[in-house]
Amino acid sequence: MAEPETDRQLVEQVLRGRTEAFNLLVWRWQRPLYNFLRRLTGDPDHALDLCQEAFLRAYTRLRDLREQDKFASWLFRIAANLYHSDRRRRFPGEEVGSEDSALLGAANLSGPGAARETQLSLRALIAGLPAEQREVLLLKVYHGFRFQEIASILDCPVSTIKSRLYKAFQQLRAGLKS
Amino acid sequence: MKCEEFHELIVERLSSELSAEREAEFDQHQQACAACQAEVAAWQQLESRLRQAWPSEDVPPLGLVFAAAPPRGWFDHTRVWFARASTALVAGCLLALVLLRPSVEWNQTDLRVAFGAAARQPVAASEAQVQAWVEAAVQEVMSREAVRLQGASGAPVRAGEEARPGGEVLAQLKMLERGQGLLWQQVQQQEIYLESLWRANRGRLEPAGQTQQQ
Repeated sequence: MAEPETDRQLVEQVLRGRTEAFNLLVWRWQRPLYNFLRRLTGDPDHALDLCQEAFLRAYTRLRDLREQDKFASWLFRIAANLYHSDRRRRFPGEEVGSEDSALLGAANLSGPGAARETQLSLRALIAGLPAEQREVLLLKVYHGFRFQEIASILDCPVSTIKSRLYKAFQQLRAGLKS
Repeated sequence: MKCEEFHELIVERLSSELSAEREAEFDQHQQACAACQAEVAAWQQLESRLRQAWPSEDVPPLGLVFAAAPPRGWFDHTRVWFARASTALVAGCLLALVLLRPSVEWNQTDLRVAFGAAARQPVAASEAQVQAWVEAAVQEVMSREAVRLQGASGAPVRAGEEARPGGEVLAQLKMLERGQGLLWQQVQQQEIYLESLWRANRGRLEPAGQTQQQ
């Protein structure tokens, strides 16, 4: 059985004119990207719109991708920028990331009552984090990006990323204890 | 390694992003410090709970399909070939311009095009030769004008002689005078131009006798 093509190979094919190869990239990254935006926005429809926009923008700007084996972090960077731009446009003057309870996604809780309550508590704690800490937490815990990749996605120094994640964990632990 | 430093490295260790050396230090401290062992366990538990609290959802259909480009017909191939041929032709012309370095000189009556070394080679003429050429040209023009002029008797009139009675001769002499003035201006301009060439290339002049033919 042939090994699946890497992101780099698929990007090269698209740039050579094999447009349909981009469908494989979409199929590979649509679920992680959607869930990242879903956890950021708290709204499935909004997350879907941003997800579509991110893939379209990635397709039209594929020639701008300098390191073709870093398609994933580049795609997530596009998505994060789209999210911030959208927030600034929809809520001008408001601090980016000040989410409401919609972020909790209460409709998707599962399991018995106690477990659901725990889930809700944790989601509430995540929602209560400053946006910059929440982004780092989502990218690290839920998507497994390395610190260097997160720094590239959010355009911040690695030391800043580590500091934000450490503070996020401290805040979550303090919230769980209380 | 101190406990404070250890705590700051927990997340990196759990994601295997420490260097081999730092990882060894971390593991060594963890084995020796019970409190730090408990700290690592707490972090791992928190990560696990976070993932369980918010599992990934199935993504709704995005509605994006990136289709292959339609196959090219003969017209498309012809258009592509023509575009490439045009580009190659333009590139060839530009390359020829760069390599041949043509020079075009327009002298009101004479157009001269030269390529390569000939274009860069200046007119090698001495100052005396330029003067002689200018005077000869003036004499030739004046003699031509003198032959044209005819007085009332039909005999030719030389330029510079006193005008004979008669408005026609006077008018023709005035025309000649104006023509000479214009000609002299042109000659002076040519002289200036040639002199500038000579001065610019003074060091590269060939000895007399090997002067190029005008």
